[in-house]
Amino acid sequence: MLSFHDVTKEFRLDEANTITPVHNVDLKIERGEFIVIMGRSGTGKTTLLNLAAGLVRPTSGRVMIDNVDLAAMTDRQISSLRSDKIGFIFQFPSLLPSLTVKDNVSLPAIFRNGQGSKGIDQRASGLIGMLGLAEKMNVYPKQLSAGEQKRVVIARSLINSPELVLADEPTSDLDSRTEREVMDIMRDVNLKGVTFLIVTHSLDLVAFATRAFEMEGGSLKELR
Amino acid sequence: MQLIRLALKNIRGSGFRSLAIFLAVMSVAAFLVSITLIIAGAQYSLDSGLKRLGADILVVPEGAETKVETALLMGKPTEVWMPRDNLQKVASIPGVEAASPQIFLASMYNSPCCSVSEMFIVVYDPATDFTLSPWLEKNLGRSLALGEVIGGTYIFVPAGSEYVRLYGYDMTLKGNLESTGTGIDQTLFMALDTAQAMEQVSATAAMEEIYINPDDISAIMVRVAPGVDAHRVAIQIGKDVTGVVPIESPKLFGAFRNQMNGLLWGFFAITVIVWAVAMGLIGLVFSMAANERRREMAVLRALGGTRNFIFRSVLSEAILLALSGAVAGIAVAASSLYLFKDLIAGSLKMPFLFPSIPSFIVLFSAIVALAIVTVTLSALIPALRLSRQELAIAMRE
Amino acid sequence: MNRIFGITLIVLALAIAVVPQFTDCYSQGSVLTLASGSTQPMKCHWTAQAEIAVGVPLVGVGAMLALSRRKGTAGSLSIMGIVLGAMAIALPFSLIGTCAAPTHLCNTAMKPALTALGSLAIVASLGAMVVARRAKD
Repeated sequence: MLSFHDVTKEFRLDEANTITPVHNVDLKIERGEFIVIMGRSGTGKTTLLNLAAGLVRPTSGRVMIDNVDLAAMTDRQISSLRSDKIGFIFQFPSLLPSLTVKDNVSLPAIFRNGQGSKGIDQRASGLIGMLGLAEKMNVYPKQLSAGEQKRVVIARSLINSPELVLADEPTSDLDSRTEREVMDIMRDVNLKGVTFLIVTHSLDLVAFATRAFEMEGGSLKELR
Repeated sequence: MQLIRLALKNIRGSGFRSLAIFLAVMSVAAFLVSITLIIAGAQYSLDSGLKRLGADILVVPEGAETKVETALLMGKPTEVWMPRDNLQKVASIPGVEAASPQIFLASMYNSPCCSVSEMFIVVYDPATDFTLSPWLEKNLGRSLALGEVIGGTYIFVPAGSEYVRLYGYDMTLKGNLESTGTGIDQTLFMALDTAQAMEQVSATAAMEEIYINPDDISAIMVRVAPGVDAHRVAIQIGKDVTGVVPIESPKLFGAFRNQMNGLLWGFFAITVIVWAVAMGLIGLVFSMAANERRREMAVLRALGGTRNFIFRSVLSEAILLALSGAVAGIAVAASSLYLFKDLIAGSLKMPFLFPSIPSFIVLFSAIVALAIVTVTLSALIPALRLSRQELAIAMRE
Repeated sequence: MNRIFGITLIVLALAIAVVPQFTDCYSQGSVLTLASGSTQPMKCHWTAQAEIAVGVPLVGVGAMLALSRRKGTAGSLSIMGIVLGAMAIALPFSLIGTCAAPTHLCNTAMKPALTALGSLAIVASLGAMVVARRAKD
């Protein structure tokens, strides 16, 4: 499904300073896997997710989805890939402030060709309800708590029935009960065949993982 | 359609910023359309007036050009005289197809019939007239009988009466000419026999007697034969007939036009400068907005939006704001100008006729197009920057 | 939103009542002189006086709309606003009228001003009605 082949990413800060958040990473993720990557802040986890989504290009090595090198794709092809196949859960608040909860959840659908809006409306309502926010369908993000916003982002990531979900700290900002509910939802979705690549501080998610890794100094080390 | 909906929601979501841009475009569009409508309205009015006049050349006594122009332009009555003999001399000039005399009179101050305190009266000769006769044929089916008059659009019969009374003589108002925005609107037209009857009655019935010298006329309306150069005929008239000045129709109101042009084009230049400054400020607002929305746009890209989508999304917002601002500005300015046209024309002391619908549509389209193009240009660079930004860096901010 | 519409109506109502007082012919010193020698104001003056009778209740409508929270009340007030706005326009055009002379101030300024103000009052009231219909109690 997703593979990293000797991937390195460098960021040049200025003439003299370069940082390398991802260093010689080799990772092959099969369809249906639930991969958890743990690590402290600044170890390159977010950069790894960005590489997987094609949001940044590797300095060396190849990132491939379904055996297609992302670097070889045009902007249109990568964008199409993101809307059709990938769901993204960002760590930072990423809801559009001028859209309601329902509009935010439905947003990825406008980039997807051939999907009727009626179907999307129902699907969005369903996902929002599943995440316990049915009564907040028409409110704006600023009226939601951080945890509620995170749940909306999770719903948004699933709207296009993705094959791969990339999640950056999906359960941060959630209380323990909601965290449990969200993890159950993600596991149920995973059991239906959706591949998950999650970066997190939370040890609880490791229990769900088919494989778990630790990221340190830009390199991956499998935990079990 | 999705793009427009998203743009509309973003516009609503960014409240104050969108309102600022909307109001800026609305104000400048309103100002521009007001100035343009006043210029166009004055032009249209003068053209309508000239068309109503119907003559290729107007021959007036030497030194009386300004008085006659003012009378025709603003309806301020004047009495100017030249020998009736001039008529024959003008008529015999090669190239002159028709020549008809007119006599200019003024009503008494505060005449009760009238919208204006001093009314301009034009006496024409039905036997030779070619300026009013076509209108009479078309609207009455005949020429005016004794005691009948027609008036410009502001002439009316006072309430409680059936007649227009001037110098003690009652006359029937048979119709009103179309509005021209010039002094013709405040002019009463009567045939020579009616004027003579009025003169007779004034001797006994009027507070002030009126006298019309049968040997004098005020002006000669000249129609040039088809294919003949009116300018040459005018020059010939000036040479052959002493004591007169021939004014070619297109050059009528020339002094006024120059004055008006200078003033109004000055205003126009100011508007263009204001427009440029407003667009610069709008560009700045879009630039600041682009900085604030970097992460938002990066998220859209991550969700599947192409660079092209981001670019079009930002420009769609700009176009919608420009369109709505321009339409609102034009609507407010045009409707205000239409409602208050008489007050504005009176205050500015200039002729004004609201332009025809086709002209207005052209103006409306031009200003809307200008607003869309210039606001879009202001938003172009911010839109490009947002569509091409480094995503990972934008998301870190 | 009701507050905005209400305040708008109050401002318009005050203008409807006040503007004609300064733009009728009486305010310019023009009066009708009768055969007996006495003078009386021309009909535009009575239109101006009647506009006070339109403006005052419209101020009330605006105030109540600004304070109203109920959908039903706002809807009814909007209808009153529309009617009063229409009255403000009808008075100079047909109910009483203005001078016959087109260049008098009552025709060049008062009538168009009342047309604009009355129209805006109607639009504001319609806006309030639409918002009331969409809102939930």
